[in-house]
Amino acid sequence: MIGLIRIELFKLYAQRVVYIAAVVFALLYIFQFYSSLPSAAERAEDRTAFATYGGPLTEAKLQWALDFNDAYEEERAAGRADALLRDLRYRAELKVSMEILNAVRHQEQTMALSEREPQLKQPFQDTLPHSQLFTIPESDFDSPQVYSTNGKPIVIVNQEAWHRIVLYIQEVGYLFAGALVILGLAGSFSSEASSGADQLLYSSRHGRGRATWAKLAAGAIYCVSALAALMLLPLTLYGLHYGLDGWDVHFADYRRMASGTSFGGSVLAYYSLQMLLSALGCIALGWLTMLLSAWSRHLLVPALVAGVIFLLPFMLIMSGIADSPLVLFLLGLFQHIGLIQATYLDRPSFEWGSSFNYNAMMYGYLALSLLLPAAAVLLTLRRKQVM
Amino acid sequence: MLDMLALLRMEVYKLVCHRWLPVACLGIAAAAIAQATVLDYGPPVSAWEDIARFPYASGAVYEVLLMLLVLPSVCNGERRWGMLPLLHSTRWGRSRAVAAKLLAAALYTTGVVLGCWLLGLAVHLSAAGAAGWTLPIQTLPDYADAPWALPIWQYTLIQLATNWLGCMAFMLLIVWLSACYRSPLTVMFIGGMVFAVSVLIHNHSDFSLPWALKSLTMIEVLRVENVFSRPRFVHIGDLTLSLPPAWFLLHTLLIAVGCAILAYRTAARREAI
Repeated sequence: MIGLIRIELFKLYAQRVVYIAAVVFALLYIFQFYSSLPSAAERAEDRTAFATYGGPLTEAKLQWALDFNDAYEEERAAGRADALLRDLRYRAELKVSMEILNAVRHQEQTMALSEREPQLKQPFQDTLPHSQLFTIPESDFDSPQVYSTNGKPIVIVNQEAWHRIVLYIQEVGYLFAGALVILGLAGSFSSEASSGADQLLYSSRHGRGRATWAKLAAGAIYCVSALAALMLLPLTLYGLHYGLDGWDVHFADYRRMASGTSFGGSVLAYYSLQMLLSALGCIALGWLTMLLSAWSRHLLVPALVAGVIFLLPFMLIMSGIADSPLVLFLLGLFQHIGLIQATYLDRPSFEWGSSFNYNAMMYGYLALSLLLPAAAVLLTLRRKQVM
Repeated sequence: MLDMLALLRMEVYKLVCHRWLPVACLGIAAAAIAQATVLDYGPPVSAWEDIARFPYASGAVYEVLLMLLVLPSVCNGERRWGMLPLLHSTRWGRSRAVAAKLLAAALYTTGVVLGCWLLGLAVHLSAAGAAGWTLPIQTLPDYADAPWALPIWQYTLIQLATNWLGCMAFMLLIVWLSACYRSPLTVMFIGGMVFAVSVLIHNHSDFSLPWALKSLTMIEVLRVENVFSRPRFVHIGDLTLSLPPAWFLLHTLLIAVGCAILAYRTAARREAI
């Protein structure tokens, strides 16, 4: 069985189109990354500012942020903000102060929504004397911490790297992953069928049993490896230019992407879970492509049909006809984009009325998307006639 | 001449006998009808707004899908089946057979363009009538800034010709790729990427790699709208260059001729190994 899987893997990885596609996607992403990358000096200033004023939020840091923001607003009202923003250090410190104030405002909104008693030890509306120098005395770093509504300290962290890494699969990564999976697996059965080798294969001892299982296993391994290769790209680029600090920070502290999250672990734990679900989504799409490949002798047909099914929600929404019942049915039926994006991981559990559990539905859909194509592939291969 | 016609007939047959082609055509017709049933047709130009938009949006997707379904194996089919030594050892195997392939692909592409246009016209006109066809193109929302004094019906004919030219250039690119690569999947991927990248990049006028990927391929001409909807410019540093429609058409024509020459030479010089 291991030998069969190895042979199938060799066949998959021997396809030149997979490498061409990977190189094209990598070049597109690298170009987009470097065209929006801030200068090294700006990134260094950001790192210094977050190292100084970031980390667990204390009352002193909160006060510094309030003072800094007030002073900035005064300068802006006087029309001197542009000159200040040309200073990279000032801009970096402004970024940190905004992060702090956004974090506290977010806490305030959460408290207002949940109608709980304020749990901040020191409400930031308190009028504290504004300092003229925006530096924190060494002794104040140990001042009391500011806590969030769930009792954990609020942490201020430079969100850029992990924000982009986590959102990569939802922005462009799903397109790259879907294309690689479809291109790699479209010929799994149809290439043998078109060359006539399937007749030989089906008349062999394990041609319809173990060989098919081996193909499915190799397809799954290929999907996982393609996704891993794609995910390495943003990890490497952001790791090189921003550093991967902040991997152990609570996911909820990445407020730009996680406001209102119910996930309780670190950002790395969230990312790992997201990748696991994305990998399962890729396998579901891969096995669907293999099923289409088992139904057709043409190499292009499975690729085109799988591509259309994969991009169907995208195309229907773009065409502006997403309101009709038929379209809504199709949107519900083919959700492989959602499976690879794994957005349901952190969506509110109840949508479309309080009795509908969206997360549970998507987990069920994922399980069916894995089981049904695999079962259909096995059944199709068992019933193939040797002529 | 008769030999050439026989070769051409065989090549056309190979293209159109694709079992999945009728399925794709039916699917496209169903999608176009479904889209027309939910569109909001309103005065003053009724169906013509959607007809003018057809090659820019869904029409371009239908045409490219039909081309990518059939054409990627036009030159590499014999290679994959091991028929190349036989073909090349015949009298016209490296000359007329290759020319027949190119002509067959051109005929197929013309059929695809005409079919898609007929479908678009039939669907939209039957849903909303032909009223408004003599109005100037500036009454179409997407063409409010167009500097051309043309009635809509004349512009529709220009659109058809421009769309055909873009499709022919795209077809020749696919045929060239088909002569270069053994796997039709590779050809389909590269062709699909040329189309998708041009569609996904936003329109802008600063000279850069994204601008080149969008404006220097034949897809802008295939989709027509950006060529005629307003005056086009490109900023190269302090220099501003005007890009009239003739520039786009000439540029696409040159690409088409270049791809045709490359496709012919590559297919004719391919060694049967």
